[in-house]
Amino acid sequence: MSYTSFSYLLFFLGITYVLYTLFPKKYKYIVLLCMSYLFYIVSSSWLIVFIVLTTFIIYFSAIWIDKINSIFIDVKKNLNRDEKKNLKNKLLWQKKAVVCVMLFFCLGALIFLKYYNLFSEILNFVIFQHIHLELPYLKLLLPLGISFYTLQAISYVIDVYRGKYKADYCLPRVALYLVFFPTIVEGPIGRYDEYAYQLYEGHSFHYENLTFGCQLILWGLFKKLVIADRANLFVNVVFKSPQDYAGFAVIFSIIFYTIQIYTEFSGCMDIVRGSAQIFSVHLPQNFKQPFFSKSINEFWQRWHMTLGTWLRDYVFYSVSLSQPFKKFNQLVKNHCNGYLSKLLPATTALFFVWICNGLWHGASIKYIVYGMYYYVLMVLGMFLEPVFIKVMKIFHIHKETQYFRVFQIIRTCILVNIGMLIFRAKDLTTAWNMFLSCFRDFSLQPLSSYGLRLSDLLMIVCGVVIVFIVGVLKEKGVSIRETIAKRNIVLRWTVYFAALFIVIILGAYGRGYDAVSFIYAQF
Amino acid sequence: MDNRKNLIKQLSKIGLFLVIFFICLNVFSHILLPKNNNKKSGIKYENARGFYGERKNSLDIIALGNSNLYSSFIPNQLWNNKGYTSYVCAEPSQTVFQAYALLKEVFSCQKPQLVILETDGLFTKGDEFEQITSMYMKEIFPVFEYHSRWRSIQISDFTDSPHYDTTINNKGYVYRSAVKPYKGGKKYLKKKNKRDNFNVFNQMYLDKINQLCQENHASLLLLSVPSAKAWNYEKHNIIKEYALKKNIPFLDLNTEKKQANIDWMTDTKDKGMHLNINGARKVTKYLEEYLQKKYTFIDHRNDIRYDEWNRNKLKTIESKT
Repeated sequence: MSYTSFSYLLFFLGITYVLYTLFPKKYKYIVLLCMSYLFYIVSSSWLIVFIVLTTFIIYFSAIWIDKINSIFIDVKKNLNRDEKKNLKNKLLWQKKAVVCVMLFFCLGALIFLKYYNLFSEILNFVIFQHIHLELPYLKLLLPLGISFYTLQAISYVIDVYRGKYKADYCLPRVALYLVFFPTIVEGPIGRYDEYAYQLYEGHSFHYENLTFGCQLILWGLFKKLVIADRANLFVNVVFKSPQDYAGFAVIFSIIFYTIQIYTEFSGCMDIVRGSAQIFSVHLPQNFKQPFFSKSINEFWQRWHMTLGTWLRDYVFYSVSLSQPFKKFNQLVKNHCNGYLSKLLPATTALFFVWICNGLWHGASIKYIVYGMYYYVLMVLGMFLEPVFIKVMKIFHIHKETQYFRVFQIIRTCILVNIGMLIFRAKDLTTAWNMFLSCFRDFSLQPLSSYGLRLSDLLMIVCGVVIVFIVGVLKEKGVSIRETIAKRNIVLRWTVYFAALFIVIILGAYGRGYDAVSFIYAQF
Repeated sequence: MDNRKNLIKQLSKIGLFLVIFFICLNVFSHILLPKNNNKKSGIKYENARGFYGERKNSLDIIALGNSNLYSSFIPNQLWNNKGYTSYVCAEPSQTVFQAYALLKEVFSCQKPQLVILETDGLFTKGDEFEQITSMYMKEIFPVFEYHSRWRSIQISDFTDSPHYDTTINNKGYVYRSAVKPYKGGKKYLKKKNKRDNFNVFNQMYLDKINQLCQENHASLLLLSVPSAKAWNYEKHNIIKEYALKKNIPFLDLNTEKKQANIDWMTDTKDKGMHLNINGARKVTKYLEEYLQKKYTFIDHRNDIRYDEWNRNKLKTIESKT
């Protein structure tokens, strides 16, 4: 069920909201849980088994870890220092074993279902073909949102393991945290302590949350239906047969794809956050005006933020704090100068982050290269920082000047667009050929040959200008919804009705437009 | 008390907002609804909606279905040989829900004795619930169907009422002359006892079509036109079972291939999916005899009220519309 469909917006969300409001406060979570499972069954039928199993696995794993912790607290009073240390070590191993078992099942399911065919292809090529063996290709079905809910599941158990919070003994709360219907398809990848309790505790009818939530959904629909799905017309034409295009056509198709994926993913997040807000549940932000970033590092702090923070907390820190890495760190400190000993450990840990980032996006070499592309950019930025500082000094360039900031933003945008080319192209060869074709044959054909009408192009441009203005206002700390809410009813409702009918009339849906599935839903 | 007052105020605001919203939806629907049933006016698949232009209650037979049907059934041939008036209300990938919606439109201006439903559309896969919801939304508020007409909007769209009077020469049939043989032999019709499954929504709307026909005193005929790519015995079995249960005649021209005499080397335009003009002539020929044998239609060829059909005879089938 698509978040932009009538059946979701009118029936699913509408009925769930009415039931949620009518149910007594104590039982409101039951409405959310049942409707979330219904949403999952409608979208993914029997594959619901996977998410139910994951729920039980993390529920019991966290409780098991909690029990181990309580054993230590109960027993430690009667022990001397050495005994305490021994017991602590023993229990730590037990906790680690529980986490490993949990990872084996949860991550194992994700790895098997999503990456089996990629790995079997690599293994067949590297090893098995030499010994006349072949791992078969399997047609595997991927449960809805497995890449998102698996990360949420892992974060919950690891947080309990790290002692960030205690295990939750309330099974419906754990279940709802994983399966909450607005987040199941594309995230955001939430944390247990951030919103599990919000979901579970019943919220009474809240006018402001209802209206603000609906406005956020409308904004998301505007970005998805008016801009993204319209940009898709042009993007599809060029990316379907890239060999037929060069110069401006390829450059614009890459820019349009960047516009498409941003407005689509962030639009989906707005629909998701708006859907949650009408139930008075506040989800974390996933986008913070990423195209105002001055560096790639900053871009990834503003783009798909919940994935970035998840990778930081559970990959970067896990690698950095592991024993082998600590030894490596020491080795580097002993044998390298200050410059290298500062950069090598950080860049090594980052390598794992970006490999995971690339692989998370898809089971293909292309996505690994996509992750590595950003890794290389970041590492180069870190290693060459002293050179940049020197060059800036020589040319008297001040970092804080407006011109330099604009230059940095444009540079980041160009680099991101190249990344998007890798992301969208069919394979790496196509991406490379398209990249080269950007520098030749700058003739332009009529718009119709790119599947676009002038009116569609104007709509995209106007839409992007509106998104840009909203972005600038947000950067300045202006809360648009609150600002509009403070105006008189005539002006306020005029804005709302205008927005509603812009989406209904100018949306690229129905006849003449292909229904475009959310890009991130396939991950 | 204050809370209660506040709640009533908030709920009234929501109510008022929704009332204004629905009024606006109606206004925009009126503006954007095509004012004629031709392509220029922007009507949805005008070929299937040419029945609006036919004289009121003048059609004997209405056929609903997808592209398989509009490639197979030639109303002008049926007129030429038997004098029965018919129209093919078929659209590309028409679902049973769309067929139901279109049939309601048909009954608003025609009183056909027979409704033929091509059965391939009953197996269209997709998000059925969304298709039904979307169908009703578009029916109630045509702005959802015709919103893209904002590009070609004219002053008359604000003032005029719809006036659907355009006729289509080929009465919904789409002429195809290409020949691309199907070389799969009889594989596609290997006799099996297994049966396909009906989706619950598809069956529900098939029942609704049946009921709508009964309410409008029209007979229903389930028809499967030859398609080597789209049809198989599992589909045949389930439709046959349903037809027997509901006492509806079912004519499968795939299994009765011998009678229809389809030659897959010459009669298909795209390797077995759709028929070309050769195949369509054979299918229509077979239907002519079948309809004459099983139903009692009047031959209108000498009736001056149907002169337009005789004049239309002069225009060739080989035109695109």
